[in-house]
This record gives sequence, C-alpha cells and structure tokens, in this order.
Amino acid sequence: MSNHCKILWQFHPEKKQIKMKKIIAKYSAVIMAGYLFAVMFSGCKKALDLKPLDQVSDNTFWTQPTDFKLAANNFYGYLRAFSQTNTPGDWRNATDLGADRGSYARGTNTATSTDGNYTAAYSWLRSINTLLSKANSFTAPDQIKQYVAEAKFFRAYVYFDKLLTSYGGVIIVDEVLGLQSSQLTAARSTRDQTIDFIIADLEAAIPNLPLESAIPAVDKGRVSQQAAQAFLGRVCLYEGTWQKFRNGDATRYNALLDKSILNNNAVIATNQYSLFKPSALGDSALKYLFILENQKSNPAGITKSANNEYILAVRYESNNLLKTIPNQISFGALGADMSRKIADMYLCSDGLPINKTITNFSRATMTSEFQNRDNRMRYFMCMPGYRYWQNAANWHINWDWSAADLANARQPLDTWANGITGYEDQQWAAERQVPNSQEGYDYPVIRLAEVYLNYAEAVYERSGTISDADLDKSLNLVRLRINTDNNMPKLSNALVAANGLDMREEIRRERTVELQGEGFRMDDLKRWYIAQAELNKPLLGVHWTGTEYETLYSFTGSGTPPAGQRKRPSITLDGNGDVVADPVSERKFTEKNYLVPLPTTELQLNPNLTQNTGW
Amino acid sequence: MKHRKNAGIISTSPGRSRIKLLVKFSIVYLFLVLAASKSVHAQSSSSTTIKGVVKGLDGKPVEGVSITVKGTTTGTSTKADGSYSITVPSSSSVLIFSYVGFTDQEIIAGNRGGISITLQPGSSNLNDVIVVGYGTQKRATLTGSVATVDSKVFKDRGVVSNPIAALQGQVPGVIVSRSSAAPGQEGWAFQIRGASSVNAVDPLVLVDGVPLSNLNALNSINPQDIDNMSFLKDASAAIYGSRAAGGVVLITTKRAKSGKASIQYSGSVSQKRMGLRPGILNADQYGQYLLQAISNASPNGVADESWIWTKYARAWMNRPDSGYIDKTTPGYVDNIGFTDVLDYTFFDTDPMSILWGNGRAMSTQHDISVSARTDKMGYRLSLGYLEDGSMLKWGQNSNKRYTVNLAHDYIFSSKLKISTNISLQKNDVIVPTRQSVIDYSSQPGFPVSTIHGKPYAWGTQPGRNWLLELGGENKAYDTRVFLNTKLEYNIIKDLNFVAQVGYNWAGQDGKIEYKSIPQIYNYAETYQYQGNPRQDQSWYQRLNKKDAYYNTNAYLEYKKKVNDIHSIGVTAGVNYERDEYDEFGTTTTYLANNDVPSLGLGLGDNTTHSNYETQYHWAIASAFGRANYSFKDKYLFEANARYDGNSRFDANHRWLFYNGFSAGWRITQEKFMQGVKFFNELKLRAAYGTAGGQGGKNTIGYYDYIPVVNIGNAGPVLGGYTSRAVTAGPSGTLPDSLKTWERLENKNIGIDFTVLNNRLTGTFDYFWKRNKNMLLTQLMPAPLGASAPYRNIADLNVWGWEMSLGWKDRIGKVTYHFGGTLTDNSNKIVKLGGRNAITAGMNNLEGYAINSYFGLKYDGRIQTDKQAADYAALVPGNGVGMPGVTQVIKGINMYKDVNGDGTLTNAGANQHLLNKTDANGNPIADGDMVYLGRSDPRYVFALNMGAEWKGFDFSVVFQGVAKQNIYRRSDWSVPFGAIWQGQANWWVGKTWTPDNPNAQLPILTTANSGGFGGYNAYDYQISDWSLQSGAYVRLKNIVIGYTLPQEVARKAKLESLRVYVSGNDLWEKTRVQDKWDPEQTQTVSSGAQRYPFYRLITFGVNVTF
Repeated sequence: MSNHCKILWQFHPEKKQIKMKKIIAKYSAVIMAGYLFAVMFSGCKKALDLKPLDQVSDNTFWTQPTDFKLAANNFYGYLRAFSQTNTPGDWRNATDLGADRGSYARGTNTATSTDGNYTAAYSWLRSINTLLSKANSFTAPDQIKQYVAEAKFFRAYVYFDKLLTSYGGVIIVDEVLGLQSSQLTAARSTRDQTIDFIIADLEAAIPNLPLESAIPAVDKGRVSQQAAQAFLGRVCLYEGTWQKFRNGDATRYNALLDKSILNNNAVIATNQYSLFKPSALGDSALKYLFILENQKSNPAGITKSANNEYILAVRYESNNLLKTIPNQISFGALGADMSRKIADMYLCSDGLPINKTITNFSRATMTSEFQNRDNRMRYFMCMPGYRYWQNAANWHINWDWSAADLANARQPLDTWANGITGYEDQQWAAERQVPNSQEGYDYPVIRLAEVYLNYAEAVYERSGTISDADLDKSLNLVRLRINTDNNMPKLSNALVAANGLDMREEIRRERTVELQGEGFRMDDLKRWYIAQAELNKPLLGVHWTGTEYETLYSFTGSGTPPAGQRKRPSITLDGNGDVVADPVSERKFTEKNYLVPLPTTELQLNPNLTQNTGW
Repeated sequence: MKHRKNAGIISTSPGRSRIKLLVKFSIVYLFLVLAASKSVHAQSSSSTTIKGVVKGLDGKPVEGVSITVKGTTTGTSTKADGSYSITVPSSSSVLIFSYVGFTDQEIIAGNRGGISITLQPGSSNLNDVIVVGYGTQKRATLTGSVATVDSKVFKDRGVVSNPIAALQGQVPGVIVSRSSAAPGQEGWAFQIRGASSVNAVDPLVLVDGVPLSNLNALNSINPQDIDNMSFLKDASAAIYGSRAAGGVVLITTKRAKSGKASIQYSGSVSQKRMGLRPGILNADQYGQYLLQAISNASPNGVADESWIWTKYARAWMNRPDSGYIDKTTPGYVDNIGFTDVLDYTFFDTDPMSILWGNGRAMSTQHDISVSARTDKMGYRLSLGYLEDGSMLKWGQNSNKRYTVNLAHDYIFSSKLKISTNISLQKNDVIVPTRQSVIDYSSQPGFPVSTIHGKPYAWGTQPGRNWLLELGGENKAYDTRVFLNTKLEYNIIKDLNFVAQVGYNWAGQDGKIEYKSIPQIYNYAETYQYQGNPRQDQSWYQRLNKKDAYYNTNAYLEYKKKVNDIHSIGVTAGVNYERDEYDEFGTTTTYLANNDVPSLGLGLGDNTTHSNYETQYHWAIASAFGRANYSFKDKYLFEANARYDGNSRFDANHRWLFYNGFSAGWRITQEKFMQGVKFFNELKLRAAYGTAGGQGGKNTIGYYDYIPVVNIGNAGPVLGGYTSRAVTAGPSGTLPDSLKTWERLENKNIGIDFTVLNNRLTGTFDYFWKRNKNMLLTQLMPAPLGASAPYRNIADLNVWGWEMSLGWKDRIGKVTYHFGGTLTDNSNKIVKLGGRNAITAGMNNLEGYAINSYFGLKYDGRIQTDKQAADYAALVPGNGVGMPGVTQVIKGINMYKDVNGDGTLTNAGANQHLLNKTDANGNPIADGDMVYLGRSDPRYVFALNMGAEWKGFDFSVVFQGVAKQNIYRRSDWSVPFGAIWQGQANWWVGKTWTPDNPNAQLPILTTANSGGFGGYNAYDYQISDWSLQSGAYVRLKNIVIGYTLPQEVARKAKLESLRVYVSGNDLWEKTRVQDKWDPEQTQTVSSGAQRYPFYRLITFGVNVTF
C-alpha cells in the first residue's frame, strides 16, 4: 500500500497539510487489514493438505497378512474364463473344430495398433510384482508365503497364457517399474529365457502352496500345489513339443518333457482328484460336468461338491446373481456349427477311426454316422431330429423326458438352421431354466483329464513309446469314462499294432476330442507345428451327395415345401459331395501366423522392440 | 470528493461521472445520494408541473421522447411539436428523458417550472456498469474483452431450463452446445473462444461472486432471476487465476431497483413439437430392401436362402394380411427359424411414432417477484416454477423446477452495508429407468401392444415402449441452497473493505427402481412369456449425493480520481474455498412388490444388497489483486494477478502465479479526433495474461500425488459359493507428484467503435492462446503395466477472432435494430508429448487441430469388372474392413492407395501424417490414412433483428454454423447398419445399382451376411466420402409482442401488461443425411441423446402491478 500513498503524495503536494491523525488512521487501517489478510492466507495454506477420504493409502496398506491375501485374490481374475474363450477375434478361440471362418483361423489377421491382451498382461504383472515387492519388506515372511507363492504362480500363468503363447519371447518385467525404468525400452527376451523364467516362478511357488487336501473350506478355489504342478506340466509339454517339432535342441526339449512327466505324475500320484463320473449320470457324466451348478442342473440333481475333477477353476454362482457367467454361453453354444474334422475324429465303438472300423459306419442318413461311435460324440454334438433343452426358452422341466418335459424342448433339431456345416454343438448349454448370461457353472482352467492327457503325450514324445501301464493310469481313464457300456477297447500298444494305427495320432485324437471346447486346439496345432497343414484345409460340413440330406433338402421351388421335403440351402459342394463351409481359397495360414504380431504402437514407443518375423 | 449538484445533471455522460463508478456496490455513493436527497427534501415538498420542449441536434422538435419521474412510474412522452407537460411530486424529483439511440438525461426538476433539452446522441452502453472480477467497471474505460448480456435474453423464450440455453448466438465467442432434448437432461455446455486444451475445460461460472463447483448447478438457476452476465474472455479473467483458462462467466442476480414496491408476474405456456424426424422404411420396403441388401452382400449376389435373415426377409415380402403369424398354431411349421420366439409380427408400424406419437408436449413456466427499495433497504423476493413436458409417450418423464430467491441488502450506517442472497432451488427430474432402450428401435414390425392391448414381447425382446412404460422410474430430486452474504465497509474515504461468504449446498436424493415386468405376451396372447425382467431381477436403488461448497473472500478496494486527470484503482484480497463431496447409495434386489419400492422390501438374502460410497474434497487458497490507472479517461491501463494454491497437487507444485495486463486507448478522446464527427467512440485494446486450467474434469484427480490401493468387493468366488472375495490392487494409474496446473497464455487485441451518431456499434477481437504445459497422459510402453499419469507435457496453439455489429435507428415511429456476431477459432497441437499413435477416426495429433478426423481417401466407385479385379489386388487382406478378398464387387467404394505401395491399409503407423521421414529422408510409406478435417464448428454466426412500433415489438434471431465436419455412421446413418432394427429411409433410391451408377451411396448391403461380412463397415468407414457437412442455419428465436399503452393498463390497475408469442428453433437448413438434428452430438448414443429435438411455440404474458 505504501506505493499507492507515494503516488498520492506526488499528485497532491498540497495534501501535506493533512492532519497527522488522518494519516495514522489510514495507515493503521491498512496495517490492520494487511495483518488480517496475512493471517487468513497462512491459515488457508495449511488448509490445502487434504487426504483421501474413501481410499486406502498405499503407505498404510501391506501391514497384515490379510492385506496380501486380498491382493492375491485379485489375481484370480486373470485366469482364462468364459469371457475370453468366447470372445470373437481372440486367437485362443480359433479352431478347426467349429465352423470358424474368423481371421485367426483363416490366417488373415493383421497387425493392430493396440492389443488389449498385451496391455492387460503387463498391467496384471504390475499388480503381481507389487505384491512380491511389498513382501520383501514384510516382517513375518512365513505368514504370507502362500500369497507370495500364488503371486509367482500367477506371474508364470500370465507370462505363459497371455504372452509367450501369443507373441513368443517377450520383455520380462519382474519388478514394479517407474516412468524412467530402463525395462520400458528393453529388447525382448528370447523364447528360452521367457520359458525359464516361467518355470523358475512355478518351481519357486510349488513348495509353498498348500496341498488340495490342506486347503480349508473357506479357501476352496485357491491355487493348490497340484494346480501349480499341473500347470508346470502343461508349460513344459507345450514348450518341449514346440521345440521338438521345430528341430530344437534335443537336450533342452527332452529335459522339458521330463519335467512335464514328473509334474503331471506328481499330480496323478496324490490321488486327490478324480474324474467326474457319478453312476447316476451314466454316459452323460461328461456333458453335465460342464454345466454343473448348485441348482438342479442334471437329472440326478448332483451339485458342484461332487466334482473332484477341476484342479483350478474360475468359479461362478448363479444364485442371487453372485457371479454369473457374463456371456450368452448357452444361447450361443447350443446349435453352434461344428466341422467335419471333429465329427470324423470320434472313434467308433471298436476303438478304431472311421476309416478302419469294422462297425457299419455309414453317412446314409442324417443320424447314421452317430451310431456305434465314441459316446462323447452324442454328448458334444447334436443329432438331427432329436430334441434338446436350453436355458431360456426350452428348459428341462423335470429331467424325466415325460411328455411335458419333451413339450418344452426345442423342436426336433434341424441341423441346417444355420446353414453352415450341418453339424451342431451342445457343450456348455445349460438345460435348467436360467436366463442367458446368468448360468453359474465353473470354467475349468485345469482339470484332471488334461493332466492325464498331458502325461500320456509327454511320455510318448519323450521316448517315442508309451507303455500300456502308463496309458492305463492316464489316457485310458479319460477315454473310457463314458465308453464302458459300448465296450470300447482301451488304447493299447496291441490295438495300435493290430490295426496299423499311429500312437501319436491316437494320443492327439484323445486330447482333441476330450478338450475340444476348452480353448486348447489352436495352441496344440501351433506347438505340433501342423497349423499350416490343418487350418489351410477347406472347412467341410456334412457329406451331401447320396445321403438323406440330399433327398430331404431337395425342394428348390418357392413357397412352402411339400411334406417330407425341406428347402435346399444354397451350399457349395466339393468333388466328393461334401459341403464346403469355407473354401481353401480363404485359408491363408502361413508361418508368420504361429505368433501374433506385437501391437504397432508398442513398436513406435520402444525402438528396441522387434516385430515377430513375417509381420 | 465533491458533489457537483449545482449542474443539475448528476449522471451518465462519460466525462463527468465520478460517482457512477461505484454504483450498486459503493456505500460512498449511496451515502452521498442519500445526503443529497435529504437536503433537497428540506427545501421543498410541494408538487409542481414541469413543461418544456425536446429538440434534436438539428434543432427540430422530437416526438415520442419518454419522460419519467425517477423512482416512480409517472411518465409521459413528447408530442409532435416536441412539447410535454408532467406533474412532479416535488422540486427535488428527477426527470429522466430517454429516446432510442440517445443518451438518457436525468435532470432535477427544481423550481424552474420548465425544462427544455436537446437530445445528446450517445450509445448509453458506454456508461454501462460492467461486472468484472471482484468489482465493477464502466464499459467506456474497460480494457479487457468482456461481453455482457442482460436479462432481456431470458425473456420471451418460454421454458428455459438452463440459462445457457438462451445464450446461443447471443455472445460473440461463446459457442453453446447441447447433447439432448430430454427434459432435465439437456446437457447444455458452452465454450468461450474455442478450446484451450485437449482436455475439456469448462468456463468458471460465478453467481454473485461465488463460483459454482460444477456447471450442473446451472440447471437449477432460474433465468428469470438473472440480471446480467459478463463473459471475461481474455486477460481480464486472470484475476480468477487457476480456473480461468476456459474463460469466466459472472452472473449477477436481480436485486430491487429503486422505487416503490412492485409486483411482477410473467408466465408462459409452450408447446413442444418434434423438429427434424427421421423417416422409417415401411413394411413393403423393409422386406424388399433387406433381401436386396443380403443378396448384394452374398457371394455372386445370390442370397443364401438357408440363412435365417434371408428367410426372414422373404417372410416380410410374403407377410400375411393379418400382419402376424402365431407359431403356437397347431401344425404350424416354422420355415423362418427364429427358435426362441412364438410369433412373427409384420405390422407397418413406425418406431418413431410408437415412442413419440405426434411429438407434442406442453411446458409451462411461471415467475412472480416482489421488490422494493427504501432509503436503507432493498429486497426482492421471487418465486419461480417450471414444468417441462416430455414428448415421450411411454413411462414417466418430467422435469419440474421450483425456485425461491431472496435478495436483501441493508445499509446500517454511512459506512456499512450488508447484502444477502438466499435461494432455494428444487429440481425434480423423472425419467424411465429403461431410458437407454430408446435407440434405433427394435426389430421392425412390432405392434404397439398385443391383440388385446397387453405388453408385447418377441421372444426375449419386449417392445421398447413397454420397457419404458413398465420398467420403473429413475427419480432425481435435486435441492440446492445458496447463501451469499457480502459486507462492504468504508474504512476511510476512497478505501473500502469487502468481505464475502458464500455457501452452496447441493443435494440429490435419488430413487431408481428397476421393475420386473411379469406380464408379457406374444401378439395373440396365446402364450405368456417368463417375466422380463423377472421378479428376482428387479432392484431398487437409493442414493444420496451431497456437495457442500463454501467460498470466503475479502478484499480492499481503493478508488481515487486526481484532478480529473488521473484515475487510480487498486483491489487486493484473499480467497479460500473448499468443496466436500459425499455420495452413497444402496441397492436391494428381488423386490417384494413393484408398486412399493423400499429398501426393506427385498426378498433376497444378504448377497442381494450392495452399497457404495464416494467421498472427496478439495480446497483452493488464493491471493489476488488488480490495479487500474487511466489518464484523462484516454489512456487506460490495468494489471491483475492471482496466486493460487490447490489441494489437488503435491505441496511442491501446488502454487502458481497468474497475471494479466491490458491497455486501452480511447482515440476519440484525443484532441485531433474532436472534429471527426463520424466517430462517436473508438477504442483500441490490447491484453496479455495467463490463466490456469485444471485440464478438464478427469485429468486431475483429487489426490493424484498420493499412491492408493484400490479395494474392491467384486472379486472371485472363493471358499463356499456364498460370497465374492475382497480384492486389493495398486491403482491403475501411477501416482504423480510433478504435475501442476495447465497455464494458458492469452493475447488479445480488440477494437470497439461507435459511429454514425451512435447508431452503429461494433467490436472486433483477435486472440491468441497458447497452452504450453497442457496435461496429457504420456503414452508409455505396455511393460509399465499402468497408465501414466497426466503430466504437463503438451503444447497447444489456439487463435481466432470474433466480431459483433449492431445498428439501431428509427424510421418514423418505428424503432428498429439489427446486428450479428461471427466467431471463428483454429488450433494446432504443437506438441503431444510423443503421443502420436494414429488410428482412423477422431484423433489428436501433433501438427493438427484438436479432434481432427483421419481416414481413407475416397477414390470413386467400382463400376467395371476390371476395376474390381484391379482393386482386389490393392486389398490383399481385410485391413480396411473389406469382408473378403474374393468378394470385391461392383458398387462399393474405392479408396486411394495414397502411399502407392500397392496395398491399401489404414492400420499402419501412418507416420507420413507427422511428416516423419526415414533415415534417407524419404516419406515413410506405412499407411494410407489422410487428414480429413477437424470436427469442431467453424464460423459460428448469429443474426438478430427487431423492431418496435406503437407498443408492438418484433424480434428474430438466426443462428448457425457455416462449416463443420461430422462423422456419424452407425445404425440409422447407414442403410441396414444393424440388420435387426427398424431402418431409416433417407437412403432409398440413392444407392448404387447398375442402372444408377452415379448414385450418391454405394450398393445396398447388410453389415453381415451368413458367414460372410457385408460391405457396410467397409463402405461407411471414415473417409472423406463418409464425412458429412454439419453446417446449418436455424431460426433460433422469433418473438412478436404487444405492450398495452400505459394509460390503458392503468385503467386495469396495472403498471404494465405485455403479451407475446414466441417460437424457438422453428426452421432450419441442414444437410445432415439421417435427419437427426445438426445440433445433436456427433455420435448420438442411446437414451437421453435419442430424444428428437423440438420446436417450441410459446404464448406468454408479463404483468407488473
């Protein structure tokens, strides 16, 4: 204020006459006001330090073992679940077993600027690394060792399931990065380094994880020691075969296969899991396993507590909408088109493939090819003319196949409703009355059947042979689960020898049939190095020429067809009279498609990052 | 300070006013006026008659000059010979002479018995008192770019649910937009001088000096309580420091005017009428075009007859006369194949008509106010009521607003004055809970209801109208309490102390019911569907929001004029404000009863209840000041500054200093201009200043510098199947302690002029804005595993201009005016912190304007087989959305291989758009995207005109945008954008066929066809072809009114009576293809944004008692 007064003095020299009193009054008023403002202002400065009101500060968290448990709970959301398996455009969903004409199955996917899978994986790794880094400074490590082990399991899971199987070797991040971290612009680790990192994490986790039997009821669903072993078995089989079929280093891939055998065997040996085959369900046990709920979801009213097959699962519960499966699973699953490839892959009841069987295999009628086959065919696929139940509109009223029950079923099935292949699927379709996307059956991340199949394959690939004893303790349990009434023979060296079969092909067939709807197929085609051969074949549907299809779907006029005839769909037939759902000209899977391209934005942001070959 | 009452004229003309500077807020002024009037009172108290003649500058008498006695409603006007006669209560009465285009003159009656005057040309607005930050200024000596509007803009508009609504086209440089026409959800927003950041920055709005904590509060402010608004557009906003980057709006509410008590009533009734309305395919067209579209999208142009949609299309073409097929009829064999439905309906219904009927609704607004002012006290009490009707014919949908305002001031002594505003605003908005089903309509052919009028569903898809009708209501009850007290104390002569406390409490009580719909049927009512949603899926949510904001500031104000040459003004003060937000809600599912929603009436167990709570707070502390100096009112200087601290930043980066400087030169005050008659006023202005921005609503959190753990209760199901696990994880965004305010540099030059005897006034401003430390999330490599925080890493350059012109004059007895505003601005992102990932669509990219479009370049249409074959070679994959490489057909668009590499792709890095070159200096050929234009409106204009004649008045406002690109290609903007929906018909006859090769649109196809994709996504993807022009001109407002002559009104015991008819948005010219309103948002989503815009016709009356 003194400046203003100076100005006044200059402009008003005559005011020097003003009484002192007035000056004092003026100054004291100004000083008082200035003091008041200064006090107010300093008070305000302090009043700017505000702390969050509804969030927990990172500095005060991580002090109790339960804090680590809550953080570990978060990781269970990283498991593969219905939302991923059924996402169109996700390469994991690509297959040659369905009527898949998507870009991944056709090999026409392109490099994208961003890739949610890539970004999500690293954000999950950050959460995991955060727990591990906080654990380093926790005072009682014993109390949190299970959660540290879970973190390592999930770190391995993310590196394998999200990154390695998609992109090959990737940048390995094992700590919480900051904006200046050099790892942000690191080059990719090699494939071997990435796999070794995954294995190291799993081996570190296994001893600190509880046995399934030691997990208390309130913690059921958490990762067990066996789950980690089973997963290690999967990883080693994957990489062992990947290397083997690409002429890798034999020492390395054999060591990987050994590790797979060892860990799969460890799971089998604990005897804490068993295949789901309650006698009340007979040969429909496998079908109902996939839609097992705590509400009545099968004729026997068996609930999830009877399922000892799932080693690690994403758990859902329909009751009161607790955590329901998020997609229209049943709606999309029942009636989805399947390919000729899977239809022909089912063995006949004599244990032989259709080209070698001595049963009367025939395609003459629409249902004849379902006769005398592996029972799984009847339960994975729909048979033309049969009735099927579905959650929203055509639910099973009481599972007694009474007139009322049948009346609520779908009309006798027309497998040509979609007009693609003529083969339809029934796996994953709930039969009880439950709205779409509110089903509550669990998603198997690892189940015992896979461990058995992994074991058999690892043993065979390690040495080129597999003993009957090894088959009996693993693969044959899966094969014969619902194939006892038809006396299907076991897979044995004798059966293979007597019928000119190929043991490797039979082991792969068993795996493909059993795990067909669980997202394994594309990974298998890739590691076996046969994707180029298999995916580039035309996608076929039913055999048309000379069959009941040709005579029934024969009406080509307009209007309503006469009784006994249906409109002929517009189909393309090949020289054999088979329906071609996707011609070979559309199948363009090449060497580069074995890996997914890195998102181009990442290449721009990190000059040291190299794109996968061919992209 | 001497009071020169000897002159008789105590007001107004520019050179003489020292007192008026302090009008309204200066107790000194009030004190002196009171003292003066008291002394005059002592001299005389007898009434006298005053006579005289009023002449113009040319010496000729002027007819129709209005003469009123100040503070009363007594008045008269001059006759043809310019003479008048008026009786005044005392010799101290003041007469006001006013005439359009001339300066008002106030003259004390005295004892002369006769007063004759000569009218002085002069635009009265030079003497307007303009509200600026922490004070007022006279327009004549203003150096900043400040636009103002007064209460007139809110008159005659019918229902105005938000004051911003009335501002469209009224203020140069202010661009108003809305996102919806749904009552209570209009989403009005405005921007001053274009963008100031890539982040959406709202202007700071203050009501009577107290900031609103968010712009939603404007929804409950009754426009009829607003006296005036100032828009601080340049450095003049710097005194508001860190929040002024988007400009500052100062709203001043009405207070009592001088004079006796008056009661004013204004009421209006409005009818809404649906404006632009998309046409819909009729039943014949639907089947025919669907089949055509499917066929065109199929291999070899032959539809797959086994595909369900082909069969469906054929069913439409052969639909039964009854319009429906009941699948439950015994023996019926379904040849179409939708398995989960029980009938097929083929009614020729129009989804627009089903939902909106005739598109009419009624709204009404009533306001009443009582005001009076005495020597010591003024008060104004107003009550307002608004009911905004909805065109939606189903479910409950309404917006009601109740407002009460009390403005009161009291002069305690010659030194102390306290003014208080208390207002209560209540706003009830009710919308159907299922509002989001208002989209592009359901499957065509749906009946309004079943055969007997019951709710209809097609399988699991209930008719949208029934979801709206039966699905429950979302009720939001907003209450706002606004308290504002201001103390003014005259410490010593010329020095005032002002302190203000404002408290703004906003609460919302929300009730959302999601009802079960148990009774739904197929058309014939032969089957009752399962409830959809079922009872156990119903839910009810209660939520409570509370936003308590207070602001306290105090400042010293010094004003001094020395020797009539130097004017000095200094203001300095401090400010503290704090906001506390608290919201919680609780939900229960499985309601026992649809009719009585109550949290206690959920039938489920504990897992069916859920709760949430959100709390945060923030505070700002500031010191601010301003200094003015003017030399002979000719050379004008101003400086202002603010030092702001904000709780949202780390203590080390919390405080920032802002300042502004401006200068003005009133050329017409110069001696050499005295002889220049042409110019009445000519002023040059220049300003430089800085202002801060918080970078929009979401760029700065409340505690971004504190690392937090996110805890959630919706984790995996572990343990028994009875509960979901609680999870904890690091925040997805890194904490950051480095960031601070955005800091905008603001430069402005302007010119104000008044010419031709004050008849033509105009303003032109050119401005530059530079935001050098714009907040942006740094794009980080994925291995970071988290989003990078917003940092001050980007740089934006904005420039533009705005102008306004106004002409006022009189021809005979008709006074008239016309004028207009024109605004444009451009911007360029100088630096984006390396964030240059380029994808098709709307992007921000270095070197381009904010919200620029990028996409392919259209290259004609395929007409020949050879073109098809050649083009197929260009698209070897599906990189540009081509459904299949073997399927390149005639009639689809071609796009240009811009980089000439023989492959068409929009997925590449497209580095050529950034002028990047490879190591050898050659352009990088890695993509074919090109720049298509920016999306923001250009050349926003408004034209207004009006006239008055013998009590009749007429005014009209046109408003529009001369240039704008919009990309709106989805659903109804693309033929068969979604195959299952009712379809718009704007494209009929415009699609390519072999017979119509030069058609506007490509060949008609569906989005997909059997296993093959259709061509919609390909053809209508973003390209220079698919962009549309969003330019429009619109008749914004038209008013015809009549004011009863005062003599007549008096006989009815009224002071005044005016009736009017007005219309809003009655006409427009637009080229938007899909017939959604051009003002609607570019990507119209479902729900509130899908309400068609309406025209509003209003009949209203204003009465003063």
